[in-house]
Amino acid sequence: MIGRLVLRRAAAGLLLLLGVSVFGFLLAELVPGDPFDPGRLEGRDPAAIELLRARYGLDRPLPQRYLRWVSLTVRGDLGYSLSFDRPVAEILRVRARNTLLLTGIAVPMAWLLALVAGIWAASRRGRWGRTAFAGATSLLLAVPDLVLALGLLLVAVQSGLLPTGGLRSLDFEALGPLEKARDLAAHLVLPAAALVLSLAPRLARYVQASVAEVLAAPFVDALRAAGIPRRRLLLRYVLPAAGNPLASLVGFSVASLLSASLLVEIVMSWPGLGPALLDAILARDVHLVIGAVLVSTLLLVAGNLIADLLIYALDPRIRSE
Amino acid sequence: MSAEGDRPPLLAATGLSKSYRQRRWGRVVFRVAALADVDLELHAGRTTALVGASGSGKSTLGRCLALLEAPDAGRVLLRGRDLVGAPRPQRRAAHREIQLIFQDAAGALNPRFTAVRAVAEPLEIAARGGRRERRELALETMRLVGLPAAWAERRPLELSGGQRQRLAIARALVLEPRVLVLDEAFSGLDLSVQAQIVNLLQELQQRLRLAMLLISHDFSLVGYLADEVAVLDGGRVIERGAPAALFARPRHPRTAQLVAATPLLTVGEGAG
Repeated sequence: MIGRLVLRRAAAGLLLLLGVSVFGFLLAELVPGDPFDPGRLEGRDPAAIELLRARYGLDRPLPQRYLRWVSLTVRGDLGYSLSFDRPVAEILRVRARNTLLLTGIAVPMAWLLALVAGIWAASRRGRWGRTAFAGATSLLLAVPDLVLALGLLLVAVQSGLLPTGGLRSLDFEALGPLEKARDLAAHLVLPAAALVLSLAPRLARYVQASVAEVLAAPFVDALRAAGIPRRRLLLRYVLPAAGNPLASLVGFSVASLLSASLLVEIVMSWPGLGPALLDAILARDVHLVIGAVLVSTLLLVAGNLIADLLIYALDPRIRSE
Repeated sequence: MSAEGDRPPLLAATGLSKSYRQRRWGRVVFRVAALADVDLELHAGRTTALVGASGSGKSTLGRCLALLEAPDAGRVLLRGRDLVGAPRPQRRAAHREIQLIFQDAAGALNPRFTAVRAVAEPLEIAARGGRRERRELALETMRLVGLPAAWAERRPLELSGGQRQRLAIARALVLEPRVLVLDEAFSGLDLSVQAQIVNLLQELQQRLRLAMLLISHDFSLVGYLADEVAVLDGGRVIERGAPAALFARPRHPRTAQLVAATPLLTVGEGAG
């Protein structure tokens, strides 16, 4: 049952990856010049360039090149990055790991914050709590991510309490294991905070809306008529019932966090996929661009798969079908 | 009424008032009185009907009596003890004696729960018995309302409207309440199902000495089921009495309007 669900989603994800790669290839084709354009590579060995051109078959027509790229990609060879002078797969492995580290911390934190704030606001009967919630979320939603990230940077610079960029300090290698972890955590605070602050208000709004909707349902009245304590009502009955639309948001939250992290990573010089993608675009590093886009798509597909599995786990109706 | 007048009511509302306010920037811009100084008594084994136009405050009164909404003023007395200001544990216990059956049985049932779980849930909330006992009692209550055990594992969406309403009744009865508030509980059902459920409730009322509050638009049903009728208009009780007399000779002009607007009344007396 669950196996078939995963298989179906995986197949759909594969199709999506295929589509993204075709699209990426076509877009890259529209960019004038090619990555091994001798004019852009002065000082390099022309023979080596010719070798690379032949290896990636740049002299052949587009469909052939695409098929060749696919056959290389499925073997794990995503091509060669000229701007980094390294194989694309090698760069992306490190970059994706860094992005995953950042989003892997930011997504759960944003959800935790959103759940607590949203449930609190939905269960307020007075006006002040709800007004405060609406005001705070509106304010955060209205501030562009860029301003938010820059503002956090400014605070960090002024206070001098936190490192303002990068993944680790210069003397990282000399530190002990515990100090290494602390150093990494300190570097994570700012970008993670920027991501959480950009994502959490949006999620909190959804949480509040769906919890409020369930609270207004007659079956909640029936539970209250059985004399249920409020906290138990919220956590045991209302939250699971509000969970379906929220679980489908998990996929969305991963997606929007990936695009937000692009920006935050660049502003905070976090060595993730974002800066790599930007560098690659500026340098017309086609293989790296397509590779980075593919990895982002892969993360997105994985996020949605997690959402589907969550719904499956949360809803007894889907399980019994 | 006069026959019961000497005995203390099981559940009574005295001087109940409730208004809904809409505020903008802290100022009240809109205020509507849903209930204004309402008195109502419910007696064990008897049915009181509440009729009135839409928005007259019927449901609000029902919800206040079931403790689902707090009145702005007035008292709700269960066996003479006020519940509005009572401490929470006492209110919770009282909650279980007063159960509500809603118009929308589909919405009133948690769509995620199977039938037997829906009925067993109030027992779990009330921390009564072990898991197996609760299930047994739930199945027994389902049988009582005419739902065979074979339906136990179905979810609300797999049941018909009438079956859902039966399930909602079973859930309300499983805590052995003393008072049932039926808020338009029959409006979505076709006549034969309605008749079945009405008969079922009458039977249960006699067996369990339930006090029932019947909120309904359906005058023929009210005439058939109720011992007393109260007419609500603009949050006030404008008239009350035995259904036959009240429908035949309404004293208040609004009651007369309501009665005149109900063509079914002529067959009402013979409908049962």
